[in-house]
Amino acid sequence: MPKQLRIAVMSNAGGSGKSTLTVNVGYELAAQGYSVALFGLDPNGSLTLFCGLPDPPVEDTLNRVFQKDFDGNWPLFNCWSEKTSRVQVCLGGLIMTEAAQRLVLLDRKAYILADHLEDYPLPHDFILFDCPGTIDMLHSAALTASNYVLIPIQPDDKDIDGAAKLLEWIFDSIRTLRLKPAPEIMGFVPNRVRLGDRAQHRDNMGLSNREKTAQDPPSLPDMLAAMKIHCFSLIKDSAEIGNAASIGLPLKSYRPAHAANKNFKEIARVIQKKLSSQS
Amino acid sequence: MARHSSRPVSTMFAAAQTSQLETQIVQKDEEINALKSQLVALANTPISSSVQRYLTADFIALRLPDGLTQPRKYFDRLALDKLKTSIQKVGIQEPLLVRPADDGKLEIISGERRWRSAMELGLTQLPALVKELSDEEALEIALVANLMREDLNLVEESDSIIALIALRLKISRDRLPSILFKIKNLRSRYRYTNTEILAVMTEDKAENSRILSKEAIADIDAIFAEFSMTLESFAANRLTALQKMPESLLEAVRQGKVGFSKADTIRKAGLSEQALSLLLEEAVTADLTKQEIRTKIQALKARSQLLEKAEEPEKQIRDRIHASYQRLRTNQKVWETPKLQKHLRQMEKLLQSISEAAAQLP
Ligand SMILES: Nc1ncnc2c1ncn2[C@@H]1O[C@H](COP(=O)(O)OP(=O)(O)OP(=O)(O)O)[C@@H](O)[C@H]1O
Ligand SMILES: [Mg+2]
Repeated sequence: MPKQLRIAVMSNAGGSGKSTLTVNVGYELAAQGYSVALFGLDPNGSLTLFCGLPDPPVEDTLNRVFQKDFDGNWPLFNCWSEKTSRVQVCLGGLIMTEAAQRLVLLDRKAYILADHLEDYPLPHDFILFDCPGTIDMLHSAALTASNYVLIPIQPDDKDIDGAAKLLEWIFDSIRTLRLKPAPEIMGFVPNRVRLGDRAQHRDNMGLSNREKTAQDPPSLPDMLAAMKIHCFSLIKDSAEIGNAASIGLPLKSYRPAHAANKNFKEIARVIQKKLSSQS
Repeated sequence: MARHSSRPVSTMFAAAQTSQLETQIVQKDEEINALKSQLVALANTPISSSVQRYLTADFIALRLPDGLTQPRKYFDRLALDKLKTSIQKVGIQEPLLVRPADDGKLEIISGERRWRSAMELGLTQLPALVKELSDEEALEIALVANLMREDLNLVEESDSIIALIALRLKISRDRLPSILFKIKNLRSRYRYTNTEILAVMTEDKAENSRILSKEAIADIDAIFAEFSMTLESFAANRLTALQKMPESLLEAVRQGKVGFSKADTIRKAGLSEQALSLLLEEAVTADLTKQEIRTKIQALKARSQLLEKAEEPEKQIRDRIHASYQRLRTNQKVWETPKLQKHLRQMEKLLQSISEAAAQLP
């Protein structure tokens, strides 16, 4: 079986850019010649919107995959088919709330996705899981099926606190679910960063204008470095990113010269490296 | 002005850090267990032609960055000679474990004595298994391999166990003894469970608590159990002795010149530095028994007591009291500890009655 890498995009905060990263990093990987499947686990269905697709009929959603008797017929749709043939999506939507509730009753609840991906392997080089904004049963399913976790974060206190709790939950889950090999934290991606008008962002990113003193608490990058967790270059807040999403396009095809494309490329490159070091 | 945040980033991440550490401990345990079974398998499989051989000249002792030091520092001549004879007879029975270094050398994780013997015997090739290992993994396996062989002396063994625990828990070796003592005391005095111990140590505010988790305490126990010891016995019997033992005695034990319990007997005598080194030398060269050492100590003590009596009249008592008081005066704990209040009050009374008596003096 060809080696496949699966990456869960999680944050434990709403609006941090999970769906944005899933779409744009996925598209960048496809542009580099890899095949990619994007899974939308979030009941909010953002992925459908960001891919420019209509809401799928309930029978053709991820909900099917979360059934005990899933037959291996993956509900995949081509995405941005005018631009690429290498991106497929498996969509969620509101029905995922039901899927999550049902999961609780299953024997191998946390392993259902991993089990089905093992029993009915997909041919893609990469699978990205776009997770909901708060930790739930679907997170356990995604974590168990993943090799890596990617964490976008808006550098507000509230979101950082949420991300710290996410980390704690991930490390706890690795032990309680006995994940072997354990998924690794690929890194944090500071997103929607506003250095110009948000002191909180500057402080938390360690980019404050004022002199640093010993009493200052560590910045987010300091903290991550102490925990040996990678921190990607920050992505600035930019309306164009939202605009591209609204019309269902990846930023790269909507605004090829946009600076954030470099950020997505940086992340895609790290992901590619992980794949080549595995095989 | 810094922005006021009621919860600094470091506080937000504290629980995540603990969980990360616990996970790393579990993962490390699993890795090490796998490696250990490999080591056992290594020791038990007779060398076959399938084990690759490498040029003796390409091997080198394990090189580690500062702060990580090898467990074995001395190679006992007698033991080396014995090994040489055995190698001459039956060859090297067990492949070495090495890791490849950037300069092309093979760094020895396990088997340095076999390599030394082989060099002295002029063997040109050695069987070895090559494994990519990080510095920490290499040290950990070296420690485990050495401890498993049971041919370290007691000081080396204790050093190794401390190094192993420190490495696995990611705390400095210097801090470990006080942590071990504390756990031991909480257990032997109050029969505390790990949860209670953790609670006490967390309240303690000392940095010690930050790295300790329940899992870490259990892990320490597991490491001792691996080598058929307990934390309590190790702290009570060895750690105290090791901490109090002067460097000259430790060195002598490390070098295999004198046994640990003999050294401990010498240590307990509380001799002056000069008397100690004379006695140690005699114990080594004349290979004194423990009983002989004891007799010598008694003689030495009797003589020095005589000398003291002759030279130092009672006048010292004022200085002695003064010195003790000076020491206690600035030690805040003494004055705050409830248990000591009774003694303090007694002392106060005594001082009062002495003052009263002094006032009566002509
Ligand atoms: N760097 C950015 N600059 C400006 N807007 C951004 C940026 N990144 C994402 N956005 C926008 O912010 C909103 C939230 O992003 P996104 O939907 O990707 O986050 P999410 O983490 O998936 O949120 P949710 O938890 O609601 O699913 C979207 O409208 C998106 O287009
Ligand atoms: Mg989303």
